[in-house]
Amino acid sequence: MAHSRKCSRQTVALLAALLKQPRSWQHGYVLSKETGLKSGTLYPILMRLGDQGLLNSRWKDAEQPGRPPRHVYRLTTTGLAFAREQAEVSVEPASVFGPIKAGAR
Amino acid sequence: MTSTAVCRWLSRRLIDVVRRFSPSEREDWAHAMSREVDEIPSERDAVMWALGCVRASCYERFISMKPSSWWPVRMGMALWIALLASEMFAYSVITLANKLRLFTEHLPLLEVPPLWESVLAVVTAVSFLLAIVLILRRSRAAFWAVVVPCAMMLSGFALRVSRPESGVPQNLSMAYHRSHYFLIWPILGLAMTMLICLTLWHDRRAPVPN
Repeated sequence: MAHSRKCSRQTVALLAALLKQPRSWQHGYVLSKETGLKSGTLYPILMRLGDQGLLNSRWKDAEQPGRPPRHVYRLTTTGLAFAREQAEVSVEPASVFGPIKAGAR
Repeated sequence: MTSTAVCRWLSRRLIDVVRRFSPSEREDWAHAMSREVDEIPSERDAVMWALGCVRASCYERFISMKPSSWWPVRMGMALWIALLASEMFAYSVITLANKLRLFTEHLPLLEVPPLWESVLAVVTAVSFLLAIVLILRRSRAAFWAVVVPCAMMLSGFALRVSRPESGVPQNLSMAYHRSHYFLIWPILGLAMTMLICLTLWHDRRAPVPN
């Protein structure tokens, strides 16, 4: 991806959600709740960000014993810079940090 | 069976679809999506989440697909391009033969296109032949090898249409045809060529599997 290019509203919302807690690993469902993105939109974006080296993902053991591990996500250093850049160039700052109401599934 | 159990069963089945549909390079992600379903407290939300995951896996499957990797598709595309190449060869041979007075009967309409246009037709035909080789060899350059001669062919056609003395505008007019349906064939031909270009463009962009 050309990093100077403006991302979609959904990607910007996801980057903003990840940027809120840049050090902590976040679950897909939590990100979905925070951004208002449905899983059908959220995962392709996460995959693209991962492919571009903007997102780190790993399996994290569940807090409750006996539960299988879950996939968690965090921005890389490059991803952090990119997310900040996107937050700045966004023309609608209010919509960036708010959940997307009409997100596709 | 309660509605909760039905929802849980449905979300499980949908997740099975996700695992089956996801391309091999996204296996880890399919597993991640399926694990997340188990953590959703509401059964209805879990079904909706699983439905979204099906959509995501279908999307990933679609963009990872390479239709030209299937040999009948590849052969079909090569055959169509061969047809275009033969058409261009035929056009150039007929016009050049007429210009060189190789025909016993002189055809004035074939005098209209300048020599460079016939030469361009030969170049286009040769480029199409190169495209056939690249398509059969599954090269990523096949896209440009088809697009460039197509653009040359269309510009040559546009040039002929712009000159009334070439006879092409008259040939395309309704006065020479009984119905509008004669336009179906050139439109279908153009659509077929565009479909091939789109397929090659898609294959060019498809990620290389890990």
